[in-house]
Amino acid sequence: MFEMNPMKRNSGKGGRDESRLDEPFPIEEPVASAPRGTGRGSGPATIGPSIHIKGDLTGEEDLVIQGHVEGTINLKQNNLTIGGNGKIHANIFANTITVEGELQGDLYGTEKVVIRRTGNVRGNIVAPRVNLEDGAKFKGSIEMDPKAVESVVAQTRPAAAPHSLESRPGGEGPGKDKPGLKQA
Amino acid sequence: MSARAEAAADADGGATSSPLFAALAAELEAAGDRVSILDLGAANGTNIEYFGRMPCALHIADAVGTLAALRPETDPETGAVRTEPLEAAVRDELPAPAGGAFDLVLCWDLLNYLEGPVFAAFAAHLAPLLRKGTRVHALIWSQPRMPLAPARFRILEPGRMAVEAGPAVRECPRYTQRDLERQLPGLRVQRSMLLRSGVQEYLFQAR
Repeated sequence: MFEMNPMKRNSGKGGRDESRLDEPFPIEEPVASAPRGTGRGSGPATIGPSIHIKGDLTGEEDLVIQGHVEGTINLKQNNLTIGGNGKIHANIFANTITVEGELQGDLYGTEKVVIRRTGNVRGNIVAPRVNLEDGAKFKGSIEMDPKAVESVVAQTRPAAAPHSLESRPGGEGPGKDKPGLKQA
Repeated sequence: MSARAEAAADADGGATSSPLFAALAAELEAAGDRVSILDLGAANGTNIEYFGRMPCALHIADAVGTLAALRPETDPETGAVRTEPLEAAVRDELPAPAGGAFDLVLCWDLLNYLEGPVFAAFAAHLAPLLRKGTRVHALIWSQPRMPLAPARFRILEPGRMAVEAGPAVRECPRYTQRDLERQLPGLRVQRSMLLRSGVQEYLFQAR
């Protein structure tokens, strides 16, 4: 499950019959056309371009961000894509991180970090593999010592709350110094 | 040579040998220690892929374009150079000294485009980023004309680099070894070599 706020039940669709108030709330069936992020091969969840999030974002599924996020993003073993419209001011922990938009913050990829030609990143990268396409912009450090990568990723990944996500204000800001990294 | 580097070589008309860089790279790879590298140029995937072969931390400053375009301002009344804005501009482009010193600094052809107070400000802000023995690699144009703006260099293999430069040219300062050592007082020339491409390759070492 990947969510930002507790969902409102029956928000207009399949609403309750007022005459049956003593009965428990019917469980809403998910709308077929709505994006479903189960993290189990059903496609990534998406944060749209009009969404602005401040705080800690955690989850257990792949995610595409086209909106604005400030804070920390932790997807553990899943993949994150910052879309072309995405504007991120956060430290990111994920399996594979792909940047097509703008990012200011540190990237910790357990598998790899990819900056596409439209990407613009200012921050530090710690990942065993880093791929930068022609045209991509990057300013900062890239840690490419395998031992240092392993050590930094292991000790700096924050603990994630399982199964649920809450937007908590006052999350760790981006660009904080991490062991073994030069300041961008 | 990787497929990516081959494609870069095919796409670009220009290339230059780089024997001093090759020797330095071989020395660093043989040592096997983690190397801290400051690349003053813009990020490019070919170079990142190249440095990924050795245990290193690569800091990409993407400062060459901005530093090369800096021009000192003068006080209209006194004619004196306003150093504060210059110092601030240079400081903004280089990593903070608190992050530690580097083992290797790649200037590419930046030094050709620095002059007078800008060169002095650059040298002053570079100094805290060096430790004794830090190597600084630079490519100095030695012919009367050079590209109007700094070129981009891609490491095809340790001894060869692709050079991407615009067609417009300008007068070249043709810095000599003595000029450079005077402008960079904390460095001494360890080795230099005139290449067939007309570039003088320099390897400096911090005192």
